[in-house]
Amino acid sequence: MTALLAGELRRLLSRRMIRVLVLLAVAGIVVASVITFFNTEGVSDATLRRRTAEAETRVTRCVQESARAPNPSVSPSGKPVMSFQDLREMCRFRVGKVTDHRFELSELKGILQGVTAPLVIVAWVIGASSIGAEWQARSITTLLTWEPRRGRVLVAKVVAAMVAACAFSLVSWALLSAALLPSALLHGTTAGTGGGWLRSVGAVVLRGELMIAIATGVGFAVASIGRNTAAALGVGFAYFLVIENVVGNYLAGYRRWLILGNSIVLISGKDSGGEVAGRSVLVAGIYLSAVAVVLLAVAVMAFQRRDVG
Amino acid sequence: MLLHLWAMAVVEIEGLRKEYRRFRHRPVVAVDGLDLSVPSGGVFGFLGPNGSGKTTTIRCLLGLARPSSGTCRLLGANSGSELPRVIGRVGSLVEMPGLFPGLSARKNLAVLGRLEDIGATTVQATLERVGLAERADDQVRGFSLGMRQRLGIGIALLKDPELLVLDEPANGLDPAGIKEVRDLLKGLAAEGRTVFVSSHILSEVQQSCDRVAIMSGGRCVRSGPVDEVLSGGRPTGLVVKLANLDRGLSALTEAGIAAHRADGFLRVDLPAAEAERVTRALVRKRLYLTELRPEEVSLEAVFLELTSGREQGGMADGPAAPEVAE
Repeated sequence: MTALLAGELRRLLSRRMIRVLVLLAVAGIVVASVITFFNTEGVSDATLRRRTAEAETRVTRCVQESARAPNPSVSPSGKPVMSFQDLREMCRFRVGKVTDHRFELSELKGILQGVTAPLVIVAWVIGASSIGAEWQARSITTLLTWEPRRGRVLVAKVVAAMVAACAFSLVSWALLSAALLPSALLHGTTAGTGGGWLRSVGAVVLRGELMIAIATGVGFAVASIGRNTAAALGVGFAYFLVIENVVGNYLAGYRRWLILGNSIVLISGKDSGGEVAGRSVLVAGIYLSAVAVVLLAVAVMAFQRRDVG
Repeated sequence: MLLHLWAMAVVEIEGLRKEYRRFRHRPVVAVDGLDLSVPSGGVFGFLGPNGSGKTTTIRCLLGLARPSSGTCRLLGANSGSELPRVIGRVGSLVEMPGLFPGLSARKNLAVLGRLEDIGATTVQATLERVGLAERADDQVRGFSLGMRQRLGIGIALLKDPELLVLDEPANGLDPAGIKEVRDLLKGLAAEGRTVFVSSHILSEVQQSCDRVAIMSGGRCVRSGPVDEVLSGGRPTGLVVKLANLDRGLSALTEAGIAAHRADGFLRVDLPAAEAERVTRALVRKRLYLTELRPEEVSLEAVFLELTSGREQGGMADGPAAPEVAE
């Protein structure tokens, strides 16, 4: 089994699609970190306090000028101020807020949660493609003439796909975190990143990895049943566009059984998140895992009975 | 005795039937009650026109397709359930080889080889044997059809198998490659292995196989040693050439030898072993031969004779009796 698994991993990693995904991920991380770096600035707390005070002075001056104006309901530039509660609010709007452009490393948790969604899609594609491409290239036939125990072959393939997808996401998260570090160190702060924060980031990563393993398994199972990568991708998009929308909008009682809502609960780590009332993170994780296991069992049974060309 | 002979068979197929069911279509019978036994050693040619059931039979043998009924045994193991027990002794190539395009030829072999604890030395030797040593580290994605076929044969040979099941191994090869495959098959048989090979290139089969089975319409219509299949139960003849065919014909008729005139020669209805009677009858009349040889029957002619009209019209004859090892 070890040799089979090692072979599957080697084959999977040699695929052009994986290389393209790695390149895209690296490019995305580089672009995001550069944009973050140039959209943040390193200011001290004192500078920020001084800017706030200056802004407040400008607001006060604006309020005084506006009160002396003939029609206080119209700003000096002629713009009506009826939509503002009072002159101070209008002046704050005119002067503009003093924004804290520092990058706070403590925000990393939210960022990692945010990138989990595209990584889940990538995991789906890796899972689907890892078996779909084998059907297309007929390499599954060659493999079965070396290892005829089909159950072992399929298990090795799905485990390899899950390992690859989880490793891919883990490396992506690590690279993204590392790429954001210059922004945090030079243009921001590492305040609020103690042990508790680290544990919550760890929980985000663990829940994300579970979600990615589930997505890989589901993508793999659908592609294995359909013997085609495109079929799996098509089924996935059709499900999310049609079933999730119809059930979500018209059959609210069934909403808690939808994959998307449960995925949001699991990734966000918030009970009753994703508009799924009463769904806990634990139950969402168990439910999604069960969906993946059932689909994989169907895929294994189909593969056991199927003629391979 | 018969049981002992059956025990020597490396491939045994009994009553194999494979039916493909398709939604809203009539089922297609690819193999219809096939009985076949391939003795150990030598090259066994498995022939038949397109759609005659050769590849389906090979798939059933290798456990890739489930028979609708009947059994297949490879090296004594049932293809359905006991294949893992013997798969390490069976090398195979089914149609176009399914390769891993992102890997080099060497890695393709190495990855599969690891499943049977086959090391780098054997991989290198196999690459050299199939003529891919120089391109061993190139990605298979860029390989030509012939090179892929060579690698497919390499995959089949990598296990150092005692039984090789090759489906159209010469597909896509140039003439030199085809000759190499022919020599390879003969060499493998000379080493004591059994080679079960399906092919369309009948001249190659005739040159390299010891025994053949001809499939038509999902059934085996003839099987046995190549010579027997070629003669097909017909009386063998001699081809006689001499300056005056008319005088020669009358001389042979006078001597009680059945002959008739063909296009530029006389066809004599005698086996090759009785050629002396021909020379004696002609010399007696002072007629001298320019050529005397056994009439050659090509496998192609026999093949066409056995298979023509069957694919469209169904099976005229019942399946041939299973061949038993001598």
